[in-house]
Amino acid sequence: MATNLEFTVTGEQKIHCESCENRIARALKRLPGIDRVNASAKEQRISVSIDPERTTLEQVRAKLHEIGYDVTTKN
Amino acid sequence: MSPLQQIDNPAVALGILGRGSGIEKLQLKVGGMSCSFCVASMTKALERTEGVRRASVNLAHEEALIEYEPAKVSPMQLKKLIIDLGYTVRDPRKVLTFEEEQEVMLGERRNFLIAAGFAVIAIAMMSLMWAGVVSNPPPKPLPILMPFLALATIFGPGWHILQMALASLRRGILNQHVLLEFGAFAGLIGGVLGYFSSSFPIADFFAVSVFITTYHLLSGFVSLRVRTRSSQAVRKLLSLVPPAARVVRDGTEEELPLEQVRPGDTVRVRPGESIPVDGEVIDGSSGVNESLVTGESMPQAKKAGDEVIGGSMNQTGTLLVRVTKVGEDSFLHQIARSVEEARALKPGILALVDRVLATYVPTVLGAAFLAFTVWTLGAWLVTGSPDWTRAIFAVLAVLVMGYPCALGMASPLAMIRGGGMAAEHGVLMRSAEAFQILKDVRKVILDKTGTITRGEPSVTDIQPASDWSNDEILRLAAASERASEHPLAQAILASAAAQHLSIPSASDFQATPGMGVAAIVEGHRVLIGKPQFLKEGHIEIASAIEQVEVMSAKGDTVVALAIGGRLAGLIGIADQIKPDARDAIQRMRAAGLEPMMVTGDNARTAEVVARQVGITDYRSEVLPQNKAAVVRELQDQGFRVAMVGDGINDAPALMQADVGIAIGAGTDIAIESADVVLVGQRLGAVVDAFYIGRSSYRKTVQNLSLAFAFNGIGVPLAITGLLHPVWAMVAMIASVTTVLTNSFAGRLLPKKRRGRQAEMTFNVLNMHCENCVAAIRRAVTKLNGVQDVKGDIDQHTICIVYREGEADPDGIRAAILDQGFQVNL
Repeated sequence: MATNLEFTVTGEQKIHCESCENRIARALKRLPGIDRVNASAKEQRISVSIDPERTTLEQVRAKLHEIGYDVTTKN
Repeated sequence: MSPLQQIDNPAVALGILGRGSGIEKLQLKVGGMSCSFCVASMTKALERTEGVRRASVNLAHEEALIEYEPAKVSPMQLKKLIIDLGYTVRDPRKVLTFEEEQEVMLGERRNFLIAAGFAVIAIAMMSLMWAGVVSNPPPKPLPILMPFLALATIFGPGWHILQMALASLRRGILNQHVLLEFGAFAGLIGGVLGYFSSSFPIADFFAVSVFITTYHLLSGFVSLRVRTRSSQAVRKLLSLVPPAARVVRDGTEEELPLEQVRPGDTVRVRPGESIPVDGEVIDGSSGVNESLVTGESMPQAKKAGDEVIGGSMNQTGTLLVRVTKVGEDSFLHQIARSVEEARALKPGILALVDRVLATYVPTVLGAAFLAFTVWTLGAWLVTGSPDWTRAIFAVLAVLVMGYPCALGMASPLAMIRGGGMAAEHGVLMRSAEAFQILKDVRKVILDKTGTITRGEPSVTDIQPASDWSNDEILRLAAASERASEHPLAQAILASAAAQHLSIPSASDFQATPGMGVAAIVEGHRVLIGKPQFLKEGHIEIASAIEQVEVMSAKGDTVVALAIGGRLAGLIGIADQIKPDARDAIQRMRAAGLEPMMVTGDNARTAEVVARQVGITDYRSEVLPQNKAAVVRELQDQGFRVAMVGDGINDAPALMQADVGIAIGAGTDIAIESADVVLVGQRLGAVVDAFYIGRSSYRKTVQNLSLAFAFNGIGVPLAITGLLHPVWAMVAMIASVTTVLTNSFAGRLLPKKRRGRQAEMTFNVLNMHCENCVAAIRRAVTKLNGVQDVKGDIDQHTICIVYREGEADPDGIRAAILDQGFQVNL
């Protein structure tokens, strides 16, 4: 069953534009078990639906950190 | 074997080629040439013959191409001339099979091993004698056994060398075989004289004969191993044409062997079949892959009235073709003929070792003569009586000393070493000539498709024309094109897959050949194809015309996409240049090479690619036959030319060039025609090959100098008549050892060299701002060996400076992808 994760960008680097949004989606989709990614420049939020069998919240967070975004999460 | 025995059918053996205008061409396989002198003397003899316009003789391929006037001289006479010169003639179409080559190799090996056996016995006996175990003068067995060993070596395993030496001598050619036999027979004579005069050491003289003959056989074997030559290019080329065709006569279809198909017949070709003949389409339409003619991988749309070429691949539809040319006149046969001609017209080189021998051998003979004169005439003038014994001794000593044992090994060993180094860089050297000639190359001709570019189309640009995002455009385009085999469709699918887009399924798929496809995807009606195709589907594209122009000018093929009756975007597809192409061209320039591009493609595409990689000199719309002509043209201007290519259409040019370089997963025929094969797609390997050629040439020169050095000291000393023949053996062992050491010593030292700085440019489509560049820079500079990252936002390119060998291009690409960017390589 897919799990939804919600992140808010808190670090110095922000989501600027549509291409940043796309880039985030593309980068995350290289992880296994990533279903749908929605990044919003307006809200500085990233929502990801994952297959918890194949990936974890920590992996997603690490990947976001790798591409330059520091995030907090409610989950 | 008599030379004539090898010909079973004279008409075939004559291999008459071209016809018309009073000049005919005769191509022959010539056997029995051993060095570049043979080439020179045969060419001279032929050109001196009345009625011969031009003669080209190639040593490496053992071929002669003669242009002559049939009114003045007959092929029979020409052939007889060559046989009179002491060579053999055989059917040009018959290639030595692998088994035959293997047999020659085993024969040489057996000869060497037998000789080596004799040499071992000889050295054992000599050692016993020197060690004083046996007394001096030696007991009976030694003077009896030694002459047997010497005779057995010279006339047993060394028999064929003796034959070659005699043949050369008759033609006044002084080569290494002649030199050897002089030495060997001097040894024999010295030994025999020993029975009459104690001044001639019997055992030593005989032993020298055994030794030098053995070394000579060893050198012969080593060079044969280095030479790998079995050119089957032509045979492979002709096997591309299917052996039979479906001929339609009187409404019935019949499969006939190709020999029975005549011009004017009608032939049916189904999708997926090779076209068997050259002809004109009279019915049907299809996409035909003509990469073998033009080098272009994009299929050409063919409809009634268009020409098709035998050997090209029919892809999508059934064609009815009226035959225009078959057999010898067909396009493929013409290429095959160009390859054959180019092979014979390829400029030969005078091998360095032959050039040295040309002066060395007369010098040794002169020294022997001098020694004789000094101890006869000279001694007579001084003391009043000539010193005959000393004179003969000196002459014999000069001759045995004169044979440089390491000589035959000097070049092959340098090549083995160079070849090993080259292989480490993904460069395979197929011919020994290539090593020598690479250093002289000035012009490098590069084929465009597959050499400078990657050889297959890929998506380079997406221009949205509405609020659909790039990803959506690509996703829907891929969905509609999923069922298509067209290379443009494949490029779109590959790009979508590379971006990890999930491709939805399409329904109501409808294709218009040569134009585009329509389909329903996710409820939208999608049209994709040429801009013209959308226009015909009543979609407004006027607003995008300018954009189409801009993209076309860049060299892109433009595919337009409409969603729900409105233009959604344009996709640019092109055969992109290799990431290291620009850098490789710069390095060529730095190495003193002049790159030039030759392509069958149109002028506009050629100009775009040339500009991108920084080539100023290029030629477009060059037909395959003419590529070889371009090479020849430069050669006539006095340049040594290297040709780099991968396709069948490059084969004649590869063969014609002084150095033919096949790149990447080139076709077998290209590889067979080339002297150097580059493994992998890297264009920079061309420059590596050049440097390796240069350094192995240096090694060859060093080896040759070392090989001659000991003899160079020995010969003048021998003139004194005081040099014992045992010193000849010492010099032999010393020179072989130094040459061996020089060839391989460098390899044993640890090689610690920093990688060369190289550049690589990627196309990153979704790189929009400085932030993106910064993100890539951060990710890539973490990698080992990466030194600098420069981004160009307007061009969507990123240029990475790295150290070769430390950073891995694939790793760099993966790192950028990991950052969520779209990378086209």
